[in-house]
Amino acid sequence: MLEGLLTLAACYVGLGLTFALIFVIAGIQRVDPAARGASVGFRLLILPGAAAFWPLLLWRWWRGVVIPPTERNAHRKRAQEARK
Amino acid sequence: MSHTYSAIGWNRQKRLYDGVVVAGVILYLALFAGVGALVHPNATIETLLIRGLGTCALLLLHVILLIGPLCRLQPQLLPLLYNRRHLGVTMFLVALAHGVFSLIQFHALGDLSPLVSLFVSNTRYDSLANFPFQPLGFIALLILFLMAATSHDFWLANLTAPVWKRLHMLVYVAYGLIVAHVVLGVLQAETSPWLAILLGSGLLAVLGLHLWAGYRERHHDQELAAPNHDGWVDVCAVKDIPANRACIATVAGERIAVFKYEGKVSALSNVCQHQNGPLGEGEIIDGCVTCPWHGYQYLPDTGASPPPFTEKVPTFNVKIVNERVFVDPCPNAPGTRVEPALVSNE
Amino acid sequence: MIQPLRRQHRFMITVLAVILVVLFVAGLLVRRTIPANPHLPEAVLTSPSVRNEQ
Repeated sequence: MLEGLLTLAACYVGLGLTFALIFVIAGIQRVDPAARGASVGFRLLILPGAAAFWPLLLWRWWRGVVIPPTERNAHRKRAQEARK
Repeated sequence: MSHTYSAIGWNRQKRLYDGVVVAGVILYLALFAGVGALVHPNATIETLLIRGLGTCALLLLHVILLIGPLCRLQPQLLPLLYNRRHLGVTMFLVALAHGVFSLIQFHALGDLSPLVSLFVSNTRYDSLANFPFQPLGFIALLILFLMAATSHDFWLANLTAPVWKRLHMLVYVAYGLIVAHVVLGVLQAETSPWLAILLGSGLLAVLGLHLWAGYRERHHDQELAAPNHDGWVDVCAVKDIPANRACIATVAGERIAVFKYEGKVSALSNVCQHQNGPLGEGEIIDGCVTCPWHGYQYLPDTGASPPPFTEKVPTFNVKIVNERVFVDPCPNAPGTRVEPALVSNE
Repeated sequence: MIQPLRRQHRFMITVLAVILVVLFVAGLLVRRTIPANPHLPEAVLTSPSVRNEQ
């Protein structure tokens, strides 16, 4: 049971690291324009998080999301509702 | 405040902050190992290092957790908050070293894989005195990793500030696990009362200051009375707002900041787009509302950051009647310009 | 912070305050002195942590 869970975790991390390497080189500037032309140091700093949150980033890249989402809070929601 | 990411936006303050933190960690470890070797001549360097790194990370975590409520109670301490994420990453790296050395020392020399050994070598979950405390530290370390790995502004922008803050509020879960790790671990074997006294004091300080700071500002979150002046909400008297500062009140389910500057009054959402810092606790610098946490700036009449920056917060229509400030509780879209109300006697 | 997060924050701190104080006190109460082994080598017996147990 435990070994199975650890194997699963190892697969998640392995896939994540592979994805993260490709993402920080070729994908990051596609989902966030502020990352265009960013330094190697920046890309290395993002790598561990990309390996951890790879399903989210893969989804955004796959769906062709080109700008980061905007937060939702009470004021923003009410302003949006008022415009409708 | 950047429209292109860099690894670290170095400035003098960050260099000084990081220099002090790194020097402090090295000095602490050297002192701990040196004094430890003198007091316990039979202790191995591995044991001293594991304990030194563990106590260092615990100390740093307390400092990190104390910075938040201390800044709420004493705004003069805000410079400590400015670079807190670097302190957090340093604490994670020290805790990681503690975890890796412990895993090698206690779990790497058997037949089982170290991670399996970590979870199965002690299964006395029914005993408080013999509780398997090491997995608690491991889970805390995983949380600290997620926080350290997402500490860059890229993650704030891509997860959005509320989601990012939720993720980073897991630090309290990690703190609980770490206190349990220490109480059920080293404290069970340690005969000197000092560790218990220090941990108890740290616990009281962290929890006490958080509760006090929360109690002190509970009134800010009470929604102002229903609109009573043609649908507008009476927020405060003009004279109650200090020059180039704001009055904070809850309107439309969230705090707003009503700023007085250059004989005018403007109202905008109190929530900074960067990390949801309290804009109303900042001041007007160079004509811009400046967030007290990280210096993000917004024009008071439009709620938009000056170009080339793109952050925007919702604005509110505002008017002055009989020296009192009234706000329309319906927020405008982020970045919408609103004509400021003119203060008659200024 | 936005209001829902401030509410969660207050809740977490309150829960943590109760749990951790109880755990800390319980942890101190269940502490037992570790029995010393009388056959330990002399070098180890001189360690302060072992001396305290005797």
